[in-house]
Amino acid sequence: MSKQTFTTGQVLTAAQMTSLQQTAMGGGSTTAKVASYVLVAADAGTVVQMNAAGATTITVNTALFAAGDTVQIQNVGAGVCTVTAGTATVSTAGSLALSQYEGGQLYFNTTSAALFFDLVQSGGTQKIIQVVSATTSAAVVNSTSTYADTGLTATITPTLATSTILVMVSQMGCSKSGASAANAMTLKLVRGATTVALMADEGLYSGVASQLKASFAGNYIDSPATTSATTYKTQFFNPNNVASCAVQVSGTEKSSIILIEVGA
Amino acid sequence: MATSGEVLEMLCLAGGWIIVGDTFEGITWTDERPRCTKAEFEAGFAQYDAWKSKQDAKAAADKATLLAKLGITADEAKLLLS
Repeated sequence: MSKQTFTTGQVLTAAQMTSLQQTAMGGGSTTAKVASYVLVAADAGTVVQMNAAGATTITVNTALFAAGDTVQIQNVGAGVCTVTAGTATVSTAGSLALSQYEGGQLYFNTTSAALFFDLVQSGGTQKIIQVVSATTSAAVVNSTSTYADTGLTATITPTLATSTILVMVSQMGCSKSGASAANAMTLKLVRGATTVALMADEGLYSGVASQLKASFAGNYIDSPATTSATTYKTQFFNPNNVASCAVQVSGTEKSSIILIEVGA
Repeated sequence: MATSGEVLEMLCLAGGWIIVGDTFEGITWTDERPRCTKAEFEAGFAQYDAWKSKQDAKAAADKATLLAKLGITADEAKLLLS
């Protein structure tokens, strides 16, 4: 049952006593939600259970709950449910983004400041929030010293600004032609216009005018510190500025990029 | 079968281009270095193998001439470079 004020002489029913017992034992009445929801005062002492296929939020506002009130929050849906500070503050050592079958307890320190105890992440254990991936097999050949897109790109919208992104890149079918002994290939990973990592600096250089083929791979941790759509891609050029270098050179090699959002 | 990059390198060895895929429309010309036409590019796929054979033969002949001038064999040249 939701929190209420009892009066002197009030007689409790068996149903009320059962509900109180259930709440005292860590359960309580459950309110099922299928869309984003703003907590109300009557949610104190209850369980708010989200069940939605898409991303949702549960918003916490001030002046609704008293110090010591609690609300259990559960997510049973496939969409990530994020506990969101509205006008109240919400602090946690874990994550406010709840994947399916995760949950936690919202405890109000004051009427305007809540603590969220993530049952999965207590202790700061990290978890995977989402995975995005992409592949390409289209050949791209560059004979210039200007960076060109390899065609390998993926976009992720982080659930939390505190998340880190594990970027896993496999750039296949990299090749330098045999038209120049000085030919080589430089490859980098970028986020937007920012270089995340130089993957090959004058890679494939041999000093001999013969074709060389290879593949490059790298795993990188990035902290974009945003909840906006963020695009990662690879770019390459030929530092020799003549002859050429290529990625997916035969048009059949499959390059891949995998973005994994890891909750802090 | 030649790749689009090989054909462009044959026709525009000086560079100055980026190509995505196999069609002329996939070419980005980055500066004013000599360019090829669409007709030259499309004909280039059939011409590449003969051009490459000729290039390889010329390189082999140049190498043989140089070795003769130096009075050493190819294996001896490799030994010098090792």
